[in-house]
Amino acid sequence: MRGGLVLGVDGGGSKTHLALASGDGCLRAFINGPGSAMEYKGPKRLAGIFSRLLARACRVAGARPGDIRAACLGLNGIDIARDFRYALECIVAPLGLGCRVKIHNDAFIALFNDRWRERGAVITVGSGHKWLAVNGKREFMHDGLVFQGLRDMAMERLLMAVEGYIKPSSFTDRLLSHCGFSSYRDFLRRWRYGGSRPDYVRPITGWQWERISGVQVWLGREAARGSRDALSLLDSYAASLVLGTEVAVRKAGLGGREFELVMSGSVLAGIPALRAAVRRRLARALPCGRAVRAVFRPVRGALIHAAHTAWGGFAPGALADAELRYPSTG
Amino acid sequence: MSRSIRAAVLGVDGGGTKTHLALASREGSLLAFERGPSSGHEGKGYPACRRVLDNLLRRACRAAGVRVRDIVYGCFGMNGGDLPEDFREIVNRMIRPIGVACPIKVHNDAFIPVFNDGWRDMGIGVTCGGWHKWVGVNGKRWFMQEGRMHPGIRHLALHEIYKVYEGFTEPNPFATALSRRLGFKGVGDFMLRGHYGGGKRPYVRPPGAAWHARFLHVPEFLGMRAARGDRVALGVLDAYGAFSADGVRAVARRLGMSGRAFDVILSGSINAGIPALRRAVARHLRRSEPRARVLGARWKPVRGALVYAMHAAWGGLPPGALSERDLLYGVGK
Repeated sequence: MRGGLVLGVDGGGSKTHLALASGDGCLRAFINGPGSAMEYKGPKRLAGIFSRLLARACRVAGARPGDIRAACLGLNGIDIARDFRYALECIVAPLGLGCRVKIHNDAFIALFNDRWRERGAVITVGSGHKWLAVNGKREFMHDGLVFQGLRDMAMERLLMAVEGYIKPSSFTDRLLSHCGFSSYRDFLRRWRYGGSRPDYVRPITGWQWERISGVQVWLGREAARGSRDALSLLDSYAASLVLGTEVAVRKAGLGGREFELVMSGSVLAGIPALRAAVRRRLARALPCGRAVRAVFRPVRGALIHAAHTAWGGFAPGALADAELRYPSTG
Repeated sequence: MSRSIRAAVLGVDGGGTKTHLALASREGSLLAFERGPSSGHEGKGYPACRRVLDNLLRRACRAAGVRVRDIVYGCFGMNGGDLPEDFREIVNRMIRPIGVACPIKVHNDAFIPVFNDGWRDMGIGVTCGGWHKWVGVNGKRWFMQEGRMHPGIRHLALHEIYKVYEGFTEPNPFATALSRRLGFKGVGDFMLRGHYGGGKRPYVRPPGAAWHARFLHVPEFLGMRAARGDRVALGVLDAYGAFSADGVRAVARRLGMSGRAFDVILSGSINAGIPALRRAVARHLRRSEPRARVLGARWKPVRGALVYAMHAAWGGLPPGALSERDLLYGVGK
């Protein structure tokens, strides 16, 4: 009997996706809400966000919270053991769910975006990065704290050019222009001194911060145009991603066994050259691993995990709805 | 009773944590040496910094028996002196208002160590203390950069804790000892309270306020472990030494000094206190700039300011000048 619904949640830093699906694999509600990073919102605000989103989803699906058979929540900020307890008390308990609930980091749910997996690894790269490997009940997750993010790596090229470590190139010129700086001097002044000398140095504008935030997308475009510097930068970052994967895989006891590495997050989804570089490097470093692109949004993984708990899984062809796909995958 | 000395030069090292102000005579005697709090405008604002300088200058003049108008040249190495506008503001809001009317040189405090042991026309100073900075001088040209892309030696040491916690390296005595040195029970406790806690999670007890002070002393810890032969500490120092040498190369290239013989002066408390770091910089620099000579700064930066001022005022300083013990690094902290 496949009655009732399952609940999937992807609680990210900048957005929250909450979805309900029925046992026949139909998406019954998909709600887009504000960010719900546990580190930055208090318990009351978090409980309010999730309660409102669930109420909306139930209205759309014509269901009640009591109809939910299993739930899986992937939440940004679930990093340490105490986060799990806190999330249970502050987020799950107020929802009044009477079913089995799985809570984990938002990287976890991406592992199941396309199908159920007993073992595998995932890298999510969006505004930050995270690695997770699962091997049955054994798992290991890390933040790659020693690695720079892709955006920082790109902005570092500008700093290196302005500080004399490298010569300015057409690549750094274009990056400078993309970020809206009129010259290297203008960049250094605003970047380094804009905050501390309000009397005589203009700070970086909101528009410029937006452009800087989108540097990864710009890098993807540059790489698509064949820019050697962009490709080299992406390759360096891919090296970090694969090194981080090696560690997660080893710690989860997956070493030497075949596994799939799911590449998730907006950056990996949006930059084919980065995915290609990861595949290339993974093949050398971990020949047993196969890198696969996350085609679906992580919230679909949460639904698949919940369905696995509730009914042993969905039927084939379930949850094929366009809104569950990453925008760039069409 | 006032002495008959009629001319003096003024040297100032206005740092982020302290200010040294000194007066010297034409004969090369140190007439006064005063210590005071920071005069870095970024943290305190110009009016407060002016008061620091004013106070120190009055005290120094009293001690030396000279008047402010007897000062014939002043060299100011000022923390936060980074942009042309900074220099202008420092002059107009800190120096001229305290009565210094003579010709002056105002630069960043990383500039003056280049001259700590004597005048030079060409050289690169690397200052590494609370922050790091590279300043090169080649005749009238100069270039300054601060390696903004590097996390700094303290964070480089913390990376060793991250590496253990995240599985990149096996647990090692260095990471455990560093965590304890910072006031945590071990690597796990550091990560829990220092990294994941740290005010971000109300249910995690934050580290005490003392941990930030302990963090500042990470370089001393590195030096101590390196002296005992700790391979991880030596590795951290080597990596930082490589970066330091990269910074020198960047400056040398900008000033057209690459391949030429020049001195590299390693200054600041970290460079001064860790011989293994100085050796690492020299080792890395030998490969790319074989004619560069790496020197540890023996004297406090304020002596460099005096040397510069004496050179500007009188064309140099007599042999054996400014050899007072007070001006040696590490004396009278």
